[in-house]
Order: sequence, then C-alpha cells, then structure tokens
Amino acid sequence: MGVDRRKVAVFGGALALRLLLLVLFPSLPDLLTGRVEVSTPVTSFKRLQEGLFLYTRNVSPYDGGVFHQAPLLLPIFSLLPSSPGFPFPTVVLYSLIDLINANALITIAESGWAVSGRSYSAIRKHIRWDGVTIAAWFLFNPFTIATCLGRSTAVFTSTGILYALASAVTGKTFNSMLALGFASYLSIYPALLYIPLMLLCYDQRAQTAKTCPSTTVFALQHLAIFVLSIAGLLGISALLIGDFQAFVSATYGFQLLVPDLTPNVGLWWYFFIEIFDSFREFFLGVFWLHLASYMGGLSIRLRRQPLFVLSSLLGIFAVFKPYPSISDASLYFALLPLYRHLFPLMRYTFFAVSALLYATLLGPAFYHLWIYAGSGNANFFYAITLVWSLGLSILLADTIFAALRDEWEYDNPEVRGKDVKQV
Amino acid sequence: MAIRDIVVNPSLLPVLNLSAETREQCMQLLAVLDPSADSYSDSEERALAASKEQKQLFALLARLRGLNRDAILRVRDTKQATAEARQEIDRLHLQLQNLYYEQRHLTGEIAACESYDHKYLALPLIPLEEFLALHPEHRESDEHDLMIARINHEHAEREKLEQARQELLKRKQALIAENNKRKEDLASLDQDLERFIDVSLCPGEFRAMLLTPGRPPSPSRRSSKRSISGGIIVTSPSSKHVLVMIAKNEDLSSSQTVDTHPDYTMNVSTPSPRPPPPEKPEAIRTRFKVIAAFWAVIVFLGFPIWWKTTSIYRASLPIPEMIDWADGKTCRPVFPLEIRVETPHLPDAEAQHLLRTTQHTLDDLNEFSAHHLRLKLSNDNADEQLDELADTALTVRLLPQDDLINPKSELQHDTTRLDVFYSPSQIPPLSSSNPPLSAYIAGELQQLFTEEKAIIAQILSNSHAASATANSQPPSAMLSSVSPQLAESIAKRLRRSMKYADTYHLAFSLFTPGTEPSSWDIQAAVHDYITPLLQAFSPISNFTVDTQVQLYATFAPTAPAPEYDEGHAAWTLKPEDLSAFINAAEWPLSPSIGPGPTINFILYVPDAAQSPLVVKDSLATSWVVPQWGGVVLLNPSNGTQLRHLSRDSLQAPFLTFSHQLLTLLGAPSTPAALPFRLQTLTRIRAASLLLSASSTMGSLARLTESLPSIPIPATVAASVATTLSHLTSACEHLRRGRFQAALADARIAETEAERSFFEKSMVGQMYFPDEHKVAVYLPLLGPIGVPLIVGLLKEVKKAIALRKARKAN
Repeated sequence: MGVDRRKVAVFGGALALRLLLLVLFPSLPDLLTGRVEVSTPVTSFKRLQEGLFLYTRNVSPYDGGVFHQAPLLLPIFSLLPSSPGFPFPTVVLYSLIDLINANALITIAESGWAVSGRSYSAIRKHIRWDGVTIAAWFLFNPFTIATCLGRSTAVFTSTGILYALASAVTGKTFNSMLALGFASYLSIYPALLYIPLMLLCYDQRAQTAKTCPSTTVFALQHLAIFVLSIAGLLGISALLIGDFQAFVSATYGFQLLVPDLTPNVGLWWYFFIEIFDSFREFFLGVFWLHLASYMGGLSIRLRRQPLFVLSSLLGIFAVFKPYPSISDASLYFALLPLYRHLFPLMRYTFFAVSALLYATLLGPAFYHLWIYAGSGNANFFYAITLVWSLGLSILLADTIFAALRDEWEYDNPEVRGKDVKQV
Repeated sequence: MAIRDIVVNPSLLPVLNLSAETREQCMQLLAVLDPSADSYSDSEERALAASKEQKQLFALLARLRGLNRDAILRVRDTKQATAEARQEIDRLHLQLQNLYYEQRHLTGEIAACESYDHKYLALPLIPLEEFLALHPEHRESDEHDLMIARINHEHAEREKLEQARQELLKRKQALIAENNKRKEDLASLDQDLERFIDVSLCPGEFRAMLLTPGRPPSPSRRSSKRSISGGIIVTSPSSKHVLVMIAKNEDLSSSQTVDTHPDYTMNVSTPSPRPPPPEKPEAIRTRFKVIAAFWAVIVFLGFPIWWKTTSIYRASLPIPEMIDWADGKTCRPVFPLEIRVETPHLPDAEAQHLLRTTQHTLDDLNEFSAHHLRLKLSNDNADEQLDELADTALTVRLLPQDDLINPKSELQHDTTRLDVFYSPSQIPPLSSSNPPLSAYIAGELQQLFTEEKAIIAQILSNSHAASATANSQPPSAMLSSVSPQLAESIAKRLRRSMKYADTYHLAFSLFTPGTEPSSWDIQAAVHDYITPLLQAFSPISNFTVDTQVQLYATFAPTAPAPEYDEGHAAWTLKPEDLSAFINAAEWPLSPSIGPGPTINFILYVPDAAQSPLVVKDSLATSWVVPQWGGVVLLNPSNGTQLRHLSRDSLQAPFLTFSHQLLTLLGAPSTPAALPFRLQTLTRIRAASLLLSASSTMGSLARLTESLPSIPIPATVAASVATTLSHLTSACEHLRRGRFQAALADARIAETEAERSFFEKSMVGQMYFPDEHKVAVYLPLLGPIGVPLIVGLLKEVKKAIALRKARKAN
C-alpha cells in the first residue's frame, strides 16, 4: 500500500494547494480568469457565466454573442451556486477535475504503452517515472494550477482527451471513443486525434485479443461509435437549446471561422488582424489544414508508437490551434513526463525550457505594457507569443527527434550510442 | 700671457708689429700733447709736432685696417675648408656604418642557413641500421648517397603499402555491399514472416501450431529480431535462413578486421567514417507515405480551398447595352406634351380647323424637336385605352366673350388650365390658312413653355456634350436661340438648386440670440404651409421634417456685426456678409440627418436691441443659401420680444420657406401656377434622372472593363438588370408622354444604378494589384511549402533513378 499512500499524499497536497491559494488570495481566480493567457473566447469562465445567466433566465445563451461554449456545460454549472458569491464549490469542482485528469495520467503511465507497444519497445525503457510522479508533475505544474484557478472550461476537453487515452491503453475502446467524442463535442480539434487513437486501440486489441480484427472493420466500427457519440451529444444540446442552427454557428462556427481576435498565446489573432479581408477565408483554410496535416504524417511515420503520436499532436495543437491557452500547453506538459526515457536523447532542452520561461515571465509584462500602460503596442505581446510558440515547437521537434532516434536504434542495434547528425 | 705667445701664425706677425708701431706712435702723440712736459716752447711748435705725429698715426692706422681685412678674409677661407673636410668625414662614417649592418645581416643569414632544419632529416624513415641490414651494398657510400637511397627505398615501400590499402578498401566495400544485400534479404524475410503471421495465423493459433509437431514452425517475429541483433542462431529448420544469418555475422566480423588492419608505421590516412547503415525498404516506403500524406492534404483539401476562397466572382454584365445607354444610343428622350383644347362653344369642324392651324403655327415656331406640343381636342380620346393615356400637360379652354377686340388669356392658378377668351368674330373661317387666333394661341403656348424647354435643352446638352449623339438636332442649337438673360437665369437656378435625391430632410430651426422666443407653433405651421407642398412633390421625392429651437445662438465672432442705419431706422446686414451670417461652427446644423441631403430652413429672431434687422439696400428679410437652405429674419412687429411664436406670426416666414423650397428643388420660376410648375419639374427630373442613371451605367461598364480583378457580386448584376429595364420603360413612357410614370421608373433606375456603382465589396479590391498577392502568400506559404516541395522532388528523383536502374537490369 506504499504506492497508494504516495498517491493519496500527492492528490491531497494538490487539492490543499488549490484551496489554500483560494483562501490566501481570494481575488486570484478572478484575476486569472481575466488573463488572456488563461481564458480564450471559447474557454473563458466569464463568458460561461454570461451564458449561464441567460440560460437560467430562459433566454438563448448565444443571443448575447459572448458565449461560445458547448451548451451541455450550462446545466452542469447551473447546479452549482453562483460563482461570484460562492467561489468555493466551483474551485473544488475544477480541482476534482484536475485530480480526475491526474488519475487518468496514472492509468496511462502504468499501462507502459509509452515505452513499449505492440511491435516496438523503447531501448531505454528502464529510465522512467512511475504514475504518481507523473501525476505530481501534472498537478503541481503552475500552468495547470493557473488553468484550474482561472476555471477555464478547457479542462473538460483535457479530461475527455486524457480519458480517451486512458481507456484506449486499458483496452476499453468503446469508452475511449465516447470520451474522444465528448472532447470533440466541447472543442472541435480533438476530432483530429481520431486516427492515432484508433490505431492505439487497434494495437491494444491486437496485443491482447485472441483474434485479430480486420483493420478496416475495426476503424469503421470505432468511427461509428465516435460519430454517434458526437451526434448524441449534439442531439441533447439541440433539445436543450432548441435553435440548432444558432447554437452550431455560435460554437463550432465560431471556433472554425475565428471571428474574435482577442489576443491570446497563439499565432492566429495577430495574423488575422493584419491580413487583407479578401484573403481571410483562404488563410483560415490554410491554418486549419496546417493544423490537420500533421495528423497523417505523424501517424504513418510513428505507426509503432501511437501514444507518442497523440502526445505530439496535442503539443502541435497547443501551438497552432486557433484559440490556444496555457491549458493546452499544460496538457502537453502532462504527457511529456511519460517519455522520460527520451530525455537523454534530447538536445535542446535547455534552450526550449529557457524560451518557455522567458515567454512566461515576459508575456504578462508585455501585455501590461501594451494594454494598461500604453507604452508598448501589439507587437510586443505578439513577439512574446512567438517566443512561446518557438519554445514549444523546439520542445516538440526535439521529442519527436528523440523518439525517431530511439526507433532507429531499435532497428539498427549496431549503431547504439553512436553520434548522429540530423540532415 | 703675452700676445706674442698666443699668435704664432706668421701671417699675423706683421699685424702685431704694425699694431705695436701704432701704439708707439700713439704714445708719442700723447707725449707731444702732454701739457705738463714742456719740451716745446710755445704752443705753435707743439701743434705742429702734434699734427705731424697725427699724420703718421693715421697712416699706421690705415695699414692696420688693411691687415685686419686680410685677416678676416683668411679666417673665412679657413672656415670653409674646415666645413668641407667635416662633410667628407661624415660621409665616410655613414659608409662604415652600412658596412657594419651588412656584415651583421650576412652573419645572421649564415647562422640561419647553418641551423636550417631540412625535411629529410626528419623523414619518418626506417632506422639506418635496419636499412643497412636490408641493403648492405650501401654500407660504403657517403652520407648523401645513402640518404637518397633510403628515400627511394621508402617511396617504393609506401607505394606498395598504398596499393595494398586500396585493395583492402575494395574488399571492404565488396564485403559491405554483400552485407547489405544479406541484410535486405533478412529484412524481407522478416516481412515475409510478419505477413505470414498476420495473415494466416493469429498469435494464439500460432502458439498452438508451434507445439504441433510435423508442421514447420517459423521463428516468431521477435525471436528473429533477436537473432539479428545478437548474432545468435535460433533453432530453425529453415537451413537457408540460418545460412544467411551466419554469413551476415561473418561479414560483420570480417569488415571489422578490415578496419583494424595495421597501419604500418606511417600516417597513411585516417580510416573513412563508417557509413550509416542503409535505409531499409520499409523505411523508404514509410517516408514515401509520409510525404504522400502531406501532399494529399494539400492537393485534395488545400487547392480546393484556395480555388474556392480566392477566385473572384464576376457576374456577367450587359456591357455593350450599358455603354449604349450612356452614349444615348438606346434612348433619345423626347417630350411630346399633350395639350387638350376644349371648345365648348365651337362646332367640330371649325374647332378642328383651328386646331390644325394652331398646330402648324406651333410647329413652325418650335426649334427644339425633342420637346414639342401636341394639340388635341378634349373629346378626341374615346378610342384610346385608358392606361395608354398620356398625361395632359395643359388644358386650353376657348371661351367666347363678346366685347373683346384682341384675344385674351388667363392661366388658372390651381389647375393646369389656360382660359383663352376671344370674340366670336375672330373664329377663323375654314378657308383661312393662318388666322390670327391660332397665331395668338400658339404664341401663348410657346411663351408658357419657353423656360421648361430651355432647362431641358440645357440638361440634355450637358449630358451629351461629350458623346456624339445621333440626334438630328443637337440640343445646344436650341440653347443658342434662347435669350442670354433666360439662359443665365436658368443656369443660376440650376446652380442654386439641390442635387436630386430620393429623400430630402427638411430641418426647420428657430434661432434666437437671447432666451425668447422659446417655443413656436411649428407643427401647425408645417402642417399648414409645408405639408401641402410636400404632398404635391411626393411623386418626385420623399421628405422628412425635423425641427429644433436654439437659444443663445450668437453670431460667429468673425462675422461682421449688423450696423444701424438711421435712414431706415433699422439694423442692416450687408449683402456680401450674408454668407457669414450662419455660425456654422456653433449652430447645431447637422449636415446629414439620414441618407440623403438636408435642406436647412433657419428662422432667426433678432434681439430686441437689434431689431428690426434687414438686409442693406434691398431691405429684404430672407435669402436662399444655394444648395443648402434658406434664412428668414423675423422681426417682431411691435418691437417687443415674443415668448411664443404663434401660428399666425409664422405664416409669413413659412410662406417664404415654401417658396425657397421650390427654388431649392429646382422648380422653374415661371409661370405662376403651381401645378404647372410641378408638372414641369416632373419632366425635368425625369429627364435628368434618366440621363444620370444612364451615365452611371456607362461608368460602371467602363470600371468593370478597366479593372479585371474586381469582383462583381450577383447583387450588382441584378441591380444593373433592374436599372436597364426601368430605364427602358422610363424611355417608353417619355415617348408616350406619360411623365409621371416615367419619373417613377427613372427614380427606381437611379437608385439601383447608384447602389450597383457604390457596392462596397467592389470598392475593397479596386486597389489590389497582383504584386501584393505575392507579398500576402509568400511569408506564410513559403516556409511551409519549401520542405514539402523539396521532399516531393527528392522522392520523384529517387523514383526516376529506380526506374532507370530497373531498365538497365
């Protein structure tokens, strides 16, 4: 029971830390909610409250043009006491969701899929952290804590994704597809994870099951589950809201067409402020295709490590999706410790980490200079978001390089330990 | 020391002697002159002796001076000689120094040469003893020859070694190639096995099969891998595979021995770095798939999106038709005015005759073919259908009156009717060709329509000035016949009147410099004096009415203050200062209330101290501000300020306003009858709108032709179609003399034409040249595109190479 005691300690500590922060700094949640790094137009808690207000008064929550989140969140939150008066229950809910996420992470870590798969097994698989350590990395990550206190609804998407992964590695493929459907329903982009997740499920099934199902049949079956789960959620939403057209255009239309160019840590807003209007549609297409195009390539190249493909795609989304926030980065950082065995192979860790720290510290400062002090301009903040994205991209490229290197050494045992040069 | 010891030079001795002599002579002279010694008896003797001594002294001094000069010259000569000698010595000294340096340098060179370290001394040769042991015949030869022999020997030796190395390298390459081939075999074997496992067996079954004796169990995938990496041979009955594996292991070890071949003693060369293991075919296939995946996204999603989002939609427009309209080729506006003649007291035949003769006279008088009058008897229209009826421009009623000598005419003020009175005797007989009554009627009619004709001619000539029309009679010809005064007044009025708009906003404002009056009966006043006029105008334009009251409205500080005129007992404004009367900076006169122009009417009630306020000289209290509005000064009648302006007190100003409104809307000034003027205005507006819409069509056509990159939305095409159809019908209505209908059509046409021309989405891309597109595409698509294109090119190259290789085999 020693391990369990550690787990309890970590979970209890994380919960206590969150509540302590709330007690010590009662204004902290509202401050974080207002930060552009934490809250984006599609995940902001403030906007959720606006939608909630309209919803509880029997007005369509999308009428105000402020609320752009999935309608199923509304009945859940309408059960909670109103957040301005009683911040405690909301924070407790978000903390519990963090713990749920951490639990899913532990499941993923302990399945060992990060280090070995159906037809592949990492060479340095002995270098790894156990599940509780990984959960601790996630729970005590300042980005996670900020997201939790900022009450961004992105954590629900994270929960969906993490549970999809956890179910996939434990063989519950049906649950996995349901969870991914839930995540995709909340914010569209997780749908791009379908193919690698399906491959992961297939590998898991093929490793354990007595009979190998046909790939095509398997893919179609799971696609059907996935689509049906989304359709079911949409159906419930339509029942809730009534005006299906308005709800879809306010949520998915908003996420796809990016009409709100509030600054965030991503790359889209500045670009679409500057672009000529006649090219706006074209570049929307380009940006979305850019985001989607990694899926195929990575899935093919790293066919033997589907879980790694999923993690890398989440990292890519954290950089290139339309409304990224630090919660996306925290999800990627949560999965990164699973690949402890790749760390010795990485080359630019110092550079990436310092770029991220630099952006983390200077980002709020530059935002303040621009918006409040008026002594800077938008380029200040945009430059910092570029540095942030650069740091993340370097980290991503480095881990992918390390994974490829590991695979190569596995294929070519005679070159182990030799220096290589990337060409 | 005596001077004689110092001066030893013989050439100076005479000088010394001479100076001694001179001294003695001086002594003698002194002795002679000495008064104490009485060697001479008297002074004369003494003077004589003295002069004699003196002369001798002078002679001696002269000689001494000569000698002195000689001495100086000689000294100079000596100095020169000395300087020359010194120069010579310096030169020689320098030479000596140079020689010293040369010597030292040479010594250094010699030392360097002696200590020079020649390569051959340090050649990595085999030791002398070994060499001598190998070649004893050189034992006797001197050192030089020995060295040459040694070097030659070394050279030969090294060539031999190099050859050996090359051979070994070749062997190594062959072995590596062999190795690779074996590896590929192995890999394909691996794949075969995998396929075998995947396709025919499932792991569970496989395990069962392994246990089954008799069948040939294949090594599992994992175990085969292990055998490769470790070089361990698993028990496998497939002897071929075993052989391959053994060979592979041998190859590996042999290639290593090649590498570690002794390098002899010299630095032959560093061994080349080990080439990376070759790519497996499956890796190549994977890479191909990855690149294909990216390109699939680009080709199947990217290009359609690019095509869809950046293609410019250009609805097709009837360009030639539009240009024809602008050039006036499609429609020649004509104004056939129908005039009804009522002859209640004449028999038909006579009435017909009168009509015919009057028409003849009219036709003779008319010079402007586009605008002509057609007379018609009022009971003549029974056969025409009701909807085909032309508007009646004027009704002429012939009324007999007995006591008239000359015919008399009177225009009714509230209808469009002209009453002509004549004495029955003036009825023309059927035979007369040019009766005076017809001439009189024709003249009256012509008179009535003169101004309208002139205005229309001006409008037509303005629009057709640029384009050569097919009009047989250019309208300008008509203009020339109009009297210059009339033409001037028409031009002035056209300048004053507002540009046509579909909707006008009327703003009535009450301004006063003090606090009173603070209210007015504006609603009643507008209702009584303005609304009827607006109703009459409703076929031409729409109107909205706004009112406001502004207290403490002072003049602009720059405006000249009114002056008091004793003669008229009034405050006066100079006519030239009227333009500064309106304080545009402070008076809230919004330029636009909604879409469409605003016409401002200002009622200004001057302060009691400055009342009455009039315009100097003319003593007028109102004026029109061209294309802007009108101003009326309302001076309180009894000199006291009114708190409230009643409906009655507003009557005069509002009648003035209504008159100003007519002027501003461009109604002709003559004749006096309002309905008649409105009809005239209808015709004028119809003509000008028709022309303006046509020219807008032409501009749009030219714009779309000159800018091929601007988008043309479907709405524009629809607007153009509407415009053209309404223009056609307006033209048709004009031709048939139905001016109200023509105006209605022309209004729609004008609105649609303006909408199509000022379509927002067209203007946006008007100034977007193609070079800008490169700047838009490159910064983002360049970095993304380069790796993709390079990857594609590499794959294509490889595919071509592979095909060639296959052909060669």
